[in-house]
Amino acid sequence: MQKHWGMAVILILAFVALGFTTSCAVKPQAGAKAVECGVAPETDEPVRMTGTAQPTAEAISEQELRAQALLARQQQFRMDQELFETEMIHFEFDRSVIIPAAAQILNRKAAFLKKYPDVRILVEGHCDERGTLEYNLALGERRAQAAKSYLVDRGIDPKRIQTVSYGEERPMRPESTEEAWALNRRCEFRVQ
Amino acid sequence: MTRSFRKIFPLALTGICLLFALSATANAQIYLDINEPQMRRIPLAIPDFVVEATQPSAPAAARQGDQLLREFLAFTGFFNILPPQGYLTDLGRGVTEREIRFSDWTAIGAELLISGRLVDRGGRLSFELRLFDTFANTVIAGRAYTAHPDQVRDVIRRFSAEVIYRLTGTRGVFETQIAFVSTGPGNKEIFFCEFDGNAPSQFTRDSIIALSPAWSSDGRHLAYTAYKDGGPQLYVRDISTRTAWNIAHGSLNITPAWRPGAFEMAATLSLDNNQDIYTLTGNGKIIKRLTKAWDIDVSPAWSPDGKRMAFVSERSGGTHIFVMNADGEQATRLTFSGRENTEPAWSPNGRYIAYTSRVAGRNEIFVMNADGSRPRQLTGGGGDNESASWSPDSTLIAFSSTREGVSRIFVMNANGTAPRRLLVLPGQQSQPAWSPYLAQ
Repeated sequence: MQKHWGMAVILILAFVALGFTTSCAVKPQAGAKAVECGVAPETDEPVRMTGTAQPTAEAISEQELRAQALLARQQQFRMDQELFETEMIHFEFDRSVIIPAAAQILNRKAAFLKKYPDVRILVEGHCDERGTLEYNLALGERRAQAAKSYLVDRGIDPKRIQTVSYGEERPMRPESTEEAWALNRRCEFRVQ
Repeated sequence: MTRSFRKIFPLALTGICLLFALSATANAQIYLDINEPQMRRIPLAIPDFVVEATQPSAPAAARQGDQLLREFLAFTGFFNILPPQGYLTDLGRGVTEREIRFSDWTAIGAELLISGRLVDRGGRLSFELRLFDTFANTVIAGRAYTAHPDQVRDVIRRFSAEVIYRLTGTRGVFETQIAFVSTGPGNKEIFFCEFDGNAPSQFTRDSIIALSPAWSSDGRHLAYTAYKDGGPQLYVRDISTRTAWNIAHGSLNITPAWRPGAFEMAATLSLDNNQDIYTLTGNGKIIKRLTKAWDIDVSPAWSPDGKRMAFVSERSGGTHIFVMNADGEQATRLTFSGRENTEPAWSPNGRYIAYTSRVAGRNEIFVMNADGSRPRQLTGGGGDNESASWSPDSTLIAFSSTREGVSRIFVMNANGTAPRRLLVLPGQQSQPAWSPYLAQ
């Protein structure tokens, strides 16, 4: 009997803890759930809070699983988003052609966008400092458009992709070296 | 700033501008042909102004006046201002053509002489200023200006404009300003300064990045590019009221250029993944698409008659300067050297197009005839030199240079001689845009 009581206490504690977890996890549903959780359809189903009814061991387990799955999806989205936003593509001098190394990265971007169909993104085009400023604004736009076209060709809805050129205004590295220039000729990707 | 600049002229100087002793100059002689690229600098002597005024402020005003006059006239690039320590005499004998012994001045090589005298007039200072031809012993220009001691700069600016007008038949640069971009505030904002770099002031405070200032030909509006809602948009700002509106068509709205004599501009937009030049009304309505090339078309620069424009295009491989009619027809390539020729600027006299070309890993300012002939390099000797902008009399070119490390604004004669730094400010300065004449 005492053992059962002990079990009940553990279950109640678990339920309380789960309540916290799920309420945190469920919250984004009200607002921008697609962006928060990334995966829209599964999260549409609300997590039932049975309130006054004594929870059964089975129900807790089901909720727990669902909450854990949601958490996992969120964590997965965050990891995917971080990779998506960290990996940039680079260009040859004065060119906006997608080179093979950039194409591989863009394939991963396309996979990310297919995995999370509600995500909208911003592609930023950047240049090195060598061209003149006005031309570089146009070239940065051209680079962002090239990345967008590549993704659209792989089935991504163009309405999900915005572009912006920063020309030479926002270098990753301020030095005037070949290495810095190569890093500065790039597109960056942001989840909006 | 422009408003106060405009106000000062009619109000501050109480208008007593006496023309005296001009009979000898009735037959207008052109002393300086400013369209001659290899123009010789005329030796000019400016002895210290004579103080006959009794006001305590008079001596200081006289020193400020003669020094500013030397600086202003040197700035034009037309003169070799002879150093005062080499003068054989001062103006002790008098300041008029009857009193001056011109042989004292021709002996040191001076072909022109300016005398200045400060006298009392109605409780205020009066500057009497005369320009002489020392070989002909004649007065070329004579003016008297009554002013408060704090208006010396305006007096000298007006007399300098008169000197240049008498010698060249054009109005010079003294009634102009230069807009430019500075990173001083922590991000790129647009500033103004006077023609010689004096009195810099911040003009925009509304954006994270402001670029490419462009004056309307009447000097009333400034267009520029600024980032709003995450992307580059065009802004138009009424300079006197500071009222502004923004223009956004698609993700890229850059390189505005006002059509001379019209409330219209050309600019580059990116509406179908191509960066093409369009004409727009000053309020932002698209009038016409001018280019339809697959590649980049950017940086329109109107001819002064508004009938044609130079622009940058990649349509023939490399990046080159082209020219086309204002309706977009008859595009012709002008540059054939190098691979990167950008930033065209059509001279206000219509004769030349300045541009930036990449030479041996550096950006350098070039100028060519407006038909593309005779390209020649104007800058060299260090750093990147970019963004040429002509003074309204076509005699000077403002540009940005990294020759001192950080980017700063410089001015040089239109033939590339005598580059001089315009001003020193915190941060880096770029993209100078010389105003049209701003005084009435």
